[in-house]
Amino acid sequence: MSRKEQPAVTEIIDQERELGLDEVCRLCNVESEILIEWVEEGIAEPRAGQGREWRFSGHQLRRVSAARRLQRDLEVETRALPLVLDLLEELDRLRRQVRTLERMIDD
Amino acid sequence: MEFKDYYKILGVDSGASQDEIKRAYRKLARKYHPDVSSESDAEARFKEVGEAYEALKDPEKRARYDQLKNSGWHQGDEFRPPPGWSDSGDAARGFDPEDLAGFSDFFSSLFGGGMGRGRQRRGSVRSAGRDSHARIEVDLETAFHGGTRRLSMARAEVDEHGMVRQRPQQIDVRIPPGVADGQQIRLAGKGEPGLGGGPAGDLYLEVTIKPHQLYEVHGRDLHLTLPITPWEAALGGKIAVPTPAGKVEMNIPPGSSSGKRLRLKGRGLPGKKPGDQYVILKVEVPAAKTDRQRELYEELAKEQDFNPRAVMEGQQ
Repeated sequence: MSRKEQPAVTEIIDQERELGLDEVCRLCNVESEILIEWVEEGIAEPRAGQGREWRFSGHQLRRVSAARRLQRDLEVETRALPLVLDLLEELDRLRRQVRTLERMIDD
Repeated sequence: MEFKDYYKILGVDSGASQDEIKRAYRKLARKYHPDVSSESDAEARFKEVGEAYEALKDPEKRARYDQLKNSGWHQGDEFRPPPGWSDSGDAARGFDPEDLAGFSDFFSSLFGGGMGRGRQRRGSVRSAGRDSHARIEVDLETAFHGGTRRLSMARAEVDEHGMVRQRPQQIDVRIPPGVADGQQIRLAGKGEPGLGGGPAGDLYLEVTIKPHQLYEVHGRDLHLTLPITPWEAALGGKIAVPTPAGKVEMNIPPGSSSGKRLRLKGRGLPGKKPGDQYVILKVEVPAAKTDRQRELYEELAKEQDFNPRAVMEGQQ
């Protein structure tokens, strides 16, 4: 079924610079009206950049991307998304911490 | 290809109601959702569960599947679709290509023919293809040094009749060195095909770094727990420490206890601002096995005026 592929041009999206609304929409596959609603709900918190345009950090981009998957796959309500995302971030931090601590404990 | 028992995957009886199927799916989807679960095979399980639900949630598709299943197929059987299968019914309507990404060949052969967009006359409308999105799991070594990962996904193609079809495809993705957890990689022209000669969309891959046996990844920083002997901890010295780029010599200061964190600057994941590697010391104490070893411990006990419980004195 597979066919010989032409090598693709690969590019890492630089997430150390801040991204504009259109870029976030494109990267996370969300409509701009949805993203504006999500910002109002606190799912992402952009900073006001030049000309009062929103600028999103790499961390915000991850939240938007996860929010979209959670809503698509688990039908999480928009108003519950900020809490779910905050809890998932906390869970992720704690899991890493537990793994580090487990390595400290004798087997 | 393998026959899949979608009822078994969802853990329901073949006579289950649509509501029971939905409940079972939701429970498993929450359990295995890659944004939620920490299980190593979460992504694969989530896709499997999603595929099973996609086949069973729609009564029309479910009836077609049941018809097949009732003709004697079992989970794991080598499966070939019966002759004429692909022409019967029109069950493939309304799939989002992203939802189909990662579905099995078995599913595609049953339901994944046309994309439900109808026939598109070539050349009539010229439009750019949509971007596609997927996640890719890479190991730490690949994230550090770069490498190639093979990704299986369903990709839309325009066939010779101008019909958009889903085909399972293997894409070799070159991972540039220095990707971090959550970072996106763009593959130009690997999204959905354009229509009427329009350019193809791009494929965006969100990177997840697999848990590593030695290192814990925190952004671009790496954490490594390093076992040391009591005399290395007490006297200090140079120790060879593993890093993804190979071993480096590190100075242990005298009097280092378990839990002490030392930093190897710039030894984390590469990037414009490379991460650091943190080394967390763990003092391992050998048992006194011989008389001489016991004697040395006793001598040390006499010589050292050391009470690690001093802080507890006077407390209940």
